[in-house]
Amino acid sequence: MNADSFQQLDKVIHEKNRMAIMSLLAASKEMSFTDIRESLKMTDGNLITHIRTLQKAGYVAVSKSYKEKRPLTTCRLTAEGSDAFRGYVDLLEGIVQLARKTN
Amino acid sequence: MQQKGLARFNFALQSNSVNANWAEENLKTIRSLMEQARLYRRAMAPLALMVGTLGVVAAGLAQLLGWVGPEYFAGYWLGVAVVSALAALLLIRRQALKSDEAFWSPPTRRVAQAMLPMLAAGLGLGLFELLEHPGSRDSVRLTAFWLILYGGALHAAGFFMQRGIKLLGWLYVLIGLFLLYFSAVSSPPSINENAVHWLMGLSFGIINMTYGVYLKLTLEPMETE
Repeated sequence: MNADSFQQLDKVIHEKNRMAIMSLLAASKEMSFTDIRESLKMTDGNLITHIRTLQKAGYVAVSKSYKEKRPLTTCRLTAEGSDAFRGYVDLLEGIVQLARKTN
Repeated sequence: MQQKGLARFNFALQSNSVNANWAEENLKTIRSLMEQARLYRRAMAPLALMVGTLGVVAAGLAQLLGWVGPEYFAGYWLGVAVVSALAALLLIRRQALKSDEAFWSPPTRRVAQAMLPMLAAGLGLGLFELLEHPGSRDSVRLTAFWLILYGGALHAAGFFMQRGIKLLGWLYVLIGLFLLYFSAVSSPPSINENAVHWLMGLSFGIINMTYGVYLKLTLEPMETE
């Protein structure tokens, strides 16, 4: 851990909306599209864009199904996404600890 | 040249400190979102349905047993409130066990802490009413205060939860205020000690049940993509 740790933060997660999506998904096995949207008060378009970015990075898996004849889209973190998120949080904690030691 | 170097050094120190503050803020956001997600998964629908059903059943039971009148009202409904609270806690515990999560998790604790003052006030009001002579008790007014306090408790919980809890809280506050107005100024003949059990059943029971049904219907989201 050094002063350049900030530069090492995962650029995909290092965006406030995507960080929020990853945080929600890290706390639940899976979460529906609507629940994420309502939790984060994001628009459909914005959420779709960020989920696609996370999907492209291999961090989020999206599945579509039907429940009681109604379409249901759910998202979950992939193993790679879980590792990346844990790494991101560890790095943030490292930055905070480093600053505390320096002070 | 020396100043330049010093300025650069200061800048590096400040930048590190800003980064650390930023990192700390982000960690706080992450923790709070993760807690919210855990709480979000606590199924509110069965909880609202259960509390609502208990309210309606309790109202019907009181009428059936003939426990009508100010001498029964406060004690009876305080008992129902305790049973409802215990049943709600058991349901939440079951949900937590099912999801392999801690029952008394930080988000659950926060919601409980937010609701507690208003619920305690409701309990206190009920107990004060019991201390009054039955002849000077006013069950309609007590119902109005209970509705307002319950609404306040839900609204406070709404700061840590989703799905219109705050709005539901406001609905209870408004109904309570209307009832208070009717009880104080021009109570319609239908709103009296004989009907007050049904008033409780309607307000605490039917509204909670309706909210539960609404959640049940909307919980499984529609495809939006």
